[in-house]
Amino acid sequence: MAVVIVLAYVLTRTKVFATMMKKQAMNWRQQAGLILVFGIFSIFGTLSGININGAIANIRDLGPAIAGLVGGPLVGFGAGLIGGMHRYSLGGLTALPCSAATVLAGLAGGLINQFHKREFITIQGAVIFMAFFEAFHMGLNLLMVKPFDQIYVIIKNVSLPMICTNALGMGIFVFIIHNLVREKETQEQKELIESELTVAREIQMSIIPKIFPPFPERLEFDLFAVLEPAKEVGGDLYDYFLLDNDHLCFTIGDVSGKGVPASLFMAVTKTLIKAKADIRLEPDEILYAVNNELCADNDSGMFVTEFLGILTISSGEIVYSNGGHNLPYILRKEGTIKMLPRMAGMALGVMEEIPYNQARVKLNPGDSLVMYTDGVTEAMNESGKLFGEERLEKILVGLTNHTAREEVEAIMRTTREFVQEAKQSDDITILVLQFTGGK
Amino acid sequence: MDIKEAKKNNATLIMLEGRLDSSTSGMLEKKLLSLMETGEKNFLLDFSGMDYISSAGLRVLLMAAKKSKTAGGKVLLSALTDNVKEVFDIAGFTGIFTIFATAEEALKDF
Repeated sequence: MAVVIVLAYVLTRTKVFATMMKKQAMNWRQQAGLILVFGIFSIFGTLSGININGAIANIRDLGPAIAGLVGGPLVGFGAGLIGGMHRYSLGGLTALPCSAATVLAGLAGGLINQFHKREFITIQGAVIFMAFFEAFHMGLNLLMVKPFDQIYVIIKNVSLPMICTNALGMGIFVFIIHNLVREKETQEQKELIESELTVAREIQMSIIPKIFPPFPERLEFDLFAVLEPAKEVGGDLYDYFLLDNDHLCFTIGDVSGKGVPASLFMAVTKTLIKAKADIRLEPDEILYAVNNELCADNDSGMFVTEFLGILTISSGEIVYSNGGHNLPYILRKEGTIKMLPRMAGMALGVMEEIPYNQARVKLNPGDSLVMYTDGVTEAMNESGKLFGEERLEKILVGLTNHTAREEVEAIMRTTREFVQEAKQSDDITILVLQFTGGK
Repeated sequence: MDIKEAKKNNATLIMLEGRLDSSTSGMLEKKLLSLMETGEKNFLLDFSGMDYISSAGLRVLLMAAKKSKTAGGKVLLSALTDNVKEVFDIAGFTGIFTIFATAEEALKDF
């Protein structure tokens, strides 16, 4: 039986096996190889037979039967011929029926293969086939060998062991093949999904702006952002674009949950914001319009928290509206910080026709607006502690004379130091808009 | 996270314990959906043992509220801890759920 297992394993590692799985025809070399291997296995079956009261129980038929199931009638017949001729050369009372049965085993396996259009046989089917074939083999002996009395005693002794061992051997072989096939399929599917996710990540990363400074000719403000999904794709987003020569629209958002569903919702949200944002609309009106669109047919319960502001570039004034997002901090030039005052406003995608509020804040040259998602404040270290707002505030306090990029990097670095080896649990996004006033 | 359920008069009381975040919210979602399939439409979710909820958790609550409303039922919440309440406030969810101080009070409302 060990030999059966080794053979099955080796077969699955060869090119022949790939051909077989694709249900293609084998070339002559593959066929010859199979004939030879299973022919030798058939001879081995004869030689390894066990003497039961003078009669030899063996698994000679197994090799050709498998060869037939794997490679078709010709392969089965070829392997059977090798095993059969060897048996015939040994002579004895049952030489003719036994060698004939071996050839027929290969042929029968091959016909099953052909009948199933090269679809590999099920375990049950293979075991039943082998058991029936061995029974037929015994019958053939009873019919052909004379005197009947003598052969009857032999068959009586060996028939049950032979039917059982051959059927068992066949069962093990087919089981291994099926197992490895399934394993291979799962592996292939996993690889497919992984490669699709990698592409999805590239696409997602390409829809958020990543070139900094984004508007090198605009010296009045400095802007920098990072987005790090916890999985391949995530639900955080940020965006910024000029509405006209004097107005910059910027936004940061966080879709509930993470992974593929969140990333799709994120893409829709970002696209809607860009489509709805217009110089004629105030931030609260933009969120109102985007919310209504997101609510339409949203049965999944997905929603997105979104902060959106418009900076008047010539004055440093920001008008902003908030849909359930963490409130940003104002980092003044002197190094003091203040969270923007709390503002009522529901996350987007929850309920239609919800009004949003808006407020104003003025940035003086050197002031920054620090926006982030809860992936920062809720970053968790290995002992289960959250990063928290206090730690975030601590980094920001006293930060003076830093560029937007340096401020983002300071937050990112401290967050990483805090979580250390713990797995990133949520998407992390930080967006800093610094007003420089033209310097 | 630990979920315990108890059938009350007209509703199913669900006691939540631990953290409701993106790794555990799927568990609650499955639980609620399977109860809905058996015809339950009124739910009381008790948060007295829950110290953290993330946006993924809020999504499941929202999904449950929407589905039970379609079925003619409702989802009530009780005993929100300060941390959880804050997340509800930030996301603007305090206004869309009916929230009670205790489970006993909430059960009278079905």
